[in-house]
Amino acid sequence: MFSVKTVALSSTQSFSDDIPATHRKHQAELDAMDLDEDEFGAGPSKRNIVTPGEVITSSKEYMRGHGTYVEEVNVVSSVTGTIERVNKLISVKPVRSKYVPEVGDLVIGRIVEVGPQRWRVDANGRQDAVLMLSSVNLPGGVQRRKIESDALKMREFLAEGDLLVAEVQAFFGDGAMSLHTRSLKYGKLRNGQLLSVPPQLIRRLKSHFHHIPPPCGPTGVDVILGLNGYVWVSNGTSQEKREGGEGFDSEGVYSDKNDDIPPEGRQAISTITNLIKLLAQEGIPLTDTLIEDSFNWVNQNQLPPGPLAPNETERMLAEVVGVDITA
Amino acid sequence: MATAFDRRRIPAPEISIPPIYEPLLDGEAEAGPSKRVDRANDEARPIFLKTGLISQANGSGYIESGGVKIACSVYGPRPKAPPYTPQGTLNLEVKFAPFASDPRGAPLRDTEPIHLSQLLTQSLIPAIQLDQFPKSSIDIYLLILESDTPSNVLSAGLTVSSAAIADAGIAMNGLGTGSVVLTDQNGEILVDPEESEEIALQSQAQAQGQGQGQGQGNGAGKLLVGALPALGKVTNLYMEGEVEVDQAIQMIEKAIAASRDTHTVLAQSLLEGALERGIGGEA
Repeated sequence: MFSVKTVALSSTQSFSDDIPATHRKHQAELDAMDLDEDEFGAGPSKRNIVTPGEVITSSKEYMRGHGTYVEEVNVVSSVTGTIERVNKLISVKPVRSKYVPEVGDLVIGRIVEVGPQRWRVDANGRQDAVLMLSSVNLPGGVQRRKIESDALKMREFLAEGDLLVAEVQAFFGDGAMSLHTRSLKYGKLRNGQLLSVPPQLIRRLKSHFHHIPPPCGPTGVDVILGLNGYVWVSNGTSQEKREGGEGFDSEGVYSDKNDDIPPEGRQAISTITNLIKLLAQEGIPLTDTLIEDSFNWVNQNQLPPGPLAPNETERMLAEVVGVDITA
Repeated sequence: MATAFDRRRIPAPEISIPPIYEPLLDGEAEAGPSKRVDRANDEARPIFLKTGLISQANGSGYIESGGVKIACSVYGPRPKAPPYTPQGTLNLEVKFAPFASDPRGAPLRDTEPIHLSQLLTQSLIPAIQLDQFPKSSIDIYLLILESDTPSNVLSAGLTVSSAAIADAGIAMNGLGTGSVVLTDQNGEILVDPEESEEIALQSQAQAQGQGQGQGQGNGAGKLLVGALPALGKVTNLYMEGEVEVDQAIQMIEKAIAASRDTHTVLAQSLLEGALERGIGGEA
């Protein structure tokens, strides 16, 4: 027993001594170490990609950020992804992962459970999010105290399976997010369809509510880009109606009934959905202009309704996004 | 006789005829798992590895390594039912497809893989930073589509599950890889042995065990090493047979050397997976 133990140690030592340079060192290390001030905030072409266990740089000069850990004197990557550097802070942004929330993010979620004074919401994170009864607006529009009868009627407002758009308010100790819908922009979703894309493709934008005006359907199409990778595409409404202006139905906020959507409206919703799916499939970050441009392209080319043919997809991506997928 | 008839299965036709192949031309290589003729005794087996093939999983990997084919999918980190755990929990399940083993395994009977999944979990746990995922669980499912020996399944399973976990973007200390090393009766060390080589060892050992007393001959054995080659760490050692200490050290070192080669392939496939998603650019 004793002899085997010593054996294992010596072999481990010799093992780490002659680890090939390809495993331990990365071009990024050299790049980062000899960095000129001009190269500061390296652009996408300067970005480097690492795999777990790869040494990025020395921990004496740099601080470890997300996606890294310190092993002896080195900052080591813990995920596959691109190296991001802010001053002395090194982090690795994973190629693909669950949504990592930040306070103030706009997310779309689905109710999974109605609990005491709270809803549990699936928002594509590591943990289910929590929406407290005290952080929603109840019908009636005006701010009012929540009373016991509201707690008993929670399932009438939001039941299991309902979709909602909300904002990340705070975090609990274990990293689970607490949501709020205390704005007329937020709340229950209807009149549309949900699609799920990798959360990395949604950038933080000035606004995550977009309206694509007619000719995209008779009333246009609304798109909500949730930062957690959930995207809601619905029948278009006017801004006033959405945000509590004229024609806003304060009693209908928690309605379960879809409005009547004409076939052209449904057609427009699915066209936009298909376009977003195509863009996401090619790993293209989504923005409102990109979605609108690709719709305009489809409209100009007068393509038949339904999913794009493969050759049309190629053309659309090349002409709208400038991405060549044929290679 | 026909009482135990499982209606969920599609019955085979009563008569079946094996397909007839054209004879191979001279010098033409036969399709199938790589043979020892392709490589030296201390060379790791060439593998095929690809990530991201199972779209509904958070991360996935597929490996072909000799006579082993495994599809692995990773779900998580996802919320775990109470009780509270300060660390994440790793659930690993190994399943054999009925057609994965020869002879064909009985359907819906998967007691065999339990020790496989335990060994795999042991080898994998040091690779994952479970302390980052309180109250969460990470679920790994390995579906064995083709298998030869349990140790080859384990070593390929370890490699492919690290690939799938990395693909899911779960924080890891390093990429785990597995390798098998075998000392045959002539004292020859074979890295990543084929099924035939392992069977030869077993039958020889049996013959010797009957003929002579114990502790005779060169000693023969098999060793499975789970390693984190990037960090120079070993996560698991599993040994069968009887060899001298010096010989065992040599075997461990050869296994570690082979695991480094596997690691290069593993890291490369992850980078390719990232490039396919349009990330990384010229890097």
